[in-house]
Amino acid sequence: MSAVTALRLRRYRVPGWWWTAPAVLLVALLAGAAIGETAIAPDTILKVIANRLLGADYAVDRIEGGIIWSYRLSRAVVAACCGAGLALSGMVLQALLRNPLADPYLMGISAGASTGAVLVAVAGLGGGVISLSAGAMMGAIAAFALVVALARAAVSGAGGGAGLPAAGAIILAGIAGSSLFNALTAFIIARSASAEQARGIMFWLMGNLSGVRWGDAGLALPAALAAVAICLWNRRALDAFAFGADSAASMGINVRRVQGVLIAAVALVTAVMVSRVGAIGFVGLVVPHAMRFIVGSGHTRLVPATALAGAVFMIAADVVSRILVAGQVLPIGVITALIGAPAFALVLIRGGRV
Amino acid sequence: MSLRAENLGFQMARRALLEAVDLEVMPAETLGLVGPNGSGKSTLLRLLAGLWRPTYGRVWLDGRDMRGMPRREIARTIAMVAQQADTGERISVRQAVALGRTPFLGPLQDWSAQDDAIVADALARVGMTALAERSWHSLSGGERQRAHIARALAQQPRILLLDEPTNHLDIRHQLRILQLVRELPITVVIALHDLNQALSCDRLAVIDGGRLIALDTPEKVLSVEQLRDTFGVHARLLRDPQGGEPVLHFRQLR
Repeated sequence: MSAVTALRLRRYRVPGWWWTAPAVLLVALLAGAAIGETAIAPDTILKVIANRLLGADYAVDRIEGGIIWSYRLSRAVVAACCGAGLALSGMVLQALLRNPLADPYLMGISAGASTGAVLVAVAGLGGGVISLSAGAMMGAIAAFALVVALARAAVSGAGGGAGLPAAGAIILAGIAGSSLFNALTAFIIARSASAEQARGIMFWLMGNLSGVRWGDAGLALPAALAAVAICLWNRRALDAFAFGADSAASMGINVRRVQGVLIAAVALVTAVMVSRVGAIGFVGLVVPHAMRFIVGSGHTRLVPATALAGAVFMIAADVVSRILVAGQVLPIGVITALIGAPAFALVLIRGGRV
Repeated sequence: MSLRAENLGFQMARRALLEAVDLEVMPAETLGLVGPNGSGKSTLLRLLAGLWRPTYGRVWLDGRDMRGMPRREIARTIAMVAQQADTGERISVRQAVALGRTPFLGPLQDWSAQDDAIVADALARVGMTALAERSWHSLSGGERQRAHIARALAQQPRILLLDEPTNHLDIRHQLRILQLVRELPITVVIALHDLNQALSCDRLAVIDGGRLIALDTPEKVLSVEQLRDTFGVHARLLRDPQGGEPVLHFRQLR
């Protein structure tokens, strides 16, 4: 490392309250593991974690230990990762495309994921070798690639999209791509799904954390951490888009590269999350807006705040989805909207700083 | 320090917006760009700022081809105030001006006291220190334009490009902006609509139909013949009976 870089590194100071974010997240994770149809005491959870991670040897009820480790904790961790990843994806797209309605599914990712899932689950693609998640992941990436190709072709072609700003082209191409893949999904379900399969697919599409295990966290956790790192790295570029892409360019931002890297990154993160837990709505749209009201538009603070709020919100929504109706788990997408809409209304009416 | 356009041309959707412009901006001068609507003033400014890639020709900055330069490096020398740059973000004036420090800050660098001082100085130069904590959306059109200029000044540019900064402003704010720009000790290229305001530039470039058709001192460029041919108006150059400043009077051509 050269002397200059060392100097610059030293100049980056982390605020003194940084530890509150992981602390809040930890408390949320513990609460997510403690609350459920059988309530489990927090000290039991700590004992189980100590046993598993630190090789400690506390006496814990085996069934309780199993519920906590294999079921609730893995679920809370994946929920946190999805919440953080989706919220950050929405934040990035809202900033880059300068559209308050942008959400992670804008570029056809949820529609493509559902087509992929349906192809595997209903049409029997892959002959049982490909899992539902893998199918959804491939569908999501295919849809995103198609939307980006369409947006590029529209801008450079001589048709109706010629001369369109890049942000507008992406949004319109996303609408076209989403419609196409949603129609494909509906077509496949109508052609070959039984009523039972159709119901299962619908539940999956609204978001479902029931089947989540530690293997899912192995993919969701790196994706969420990568999202946080990429967003923090590009925080000044994201700020510079406040007055539009041209203004960002005149302030030294390589607009095409930043847009390309960030959009591809959030699309991949969203695809990972959707393929694990389905298309959970509302988090990616509303959490970034709520955080803008609370901590302001500067991404140095907005990125950690959005990631944390998304994670905590999703853990809370998952807990509620498990305990709201006794003996039944509701789709988490229903809960995110049921809690999120009034919460957001409250922030809209009462929230406020500059 | 020099900025030079060499045989510069730009096409969009197969329409030529700018054709074969050769132009050298002199150090510390105020160069005005005048021309009818759609003549290519904004296009030329965007090419000079490196925001668009020329279809042909080159822009030279300090003897280097701008195409080979990183955006960040260009932005440390050239700042631009475009038309109608607005935001939906809820930011304060100070935050908006602070964006001007972007080309000097890396991902691992923190905001420093020096950056604070530069932002404060930029705000003071446009007379907006008292409004620094106001929200952007509460500003009037003239205040927003001044804040934009402060944001550009926070880039500490040696060249400032302004695209019709007095548009939509009342006369008092127009004069204030022009006064502010005139007093800057840096090179300024400014697109202007009001030809009387253009008279106070050091030199004027007349653009029409994407071509540079005249480049000289205001008195020579804004001649009766030139104004008739380019703008389609009849003009007379008068002198203010009190101070002797030149004033253009326009009539429709018959």
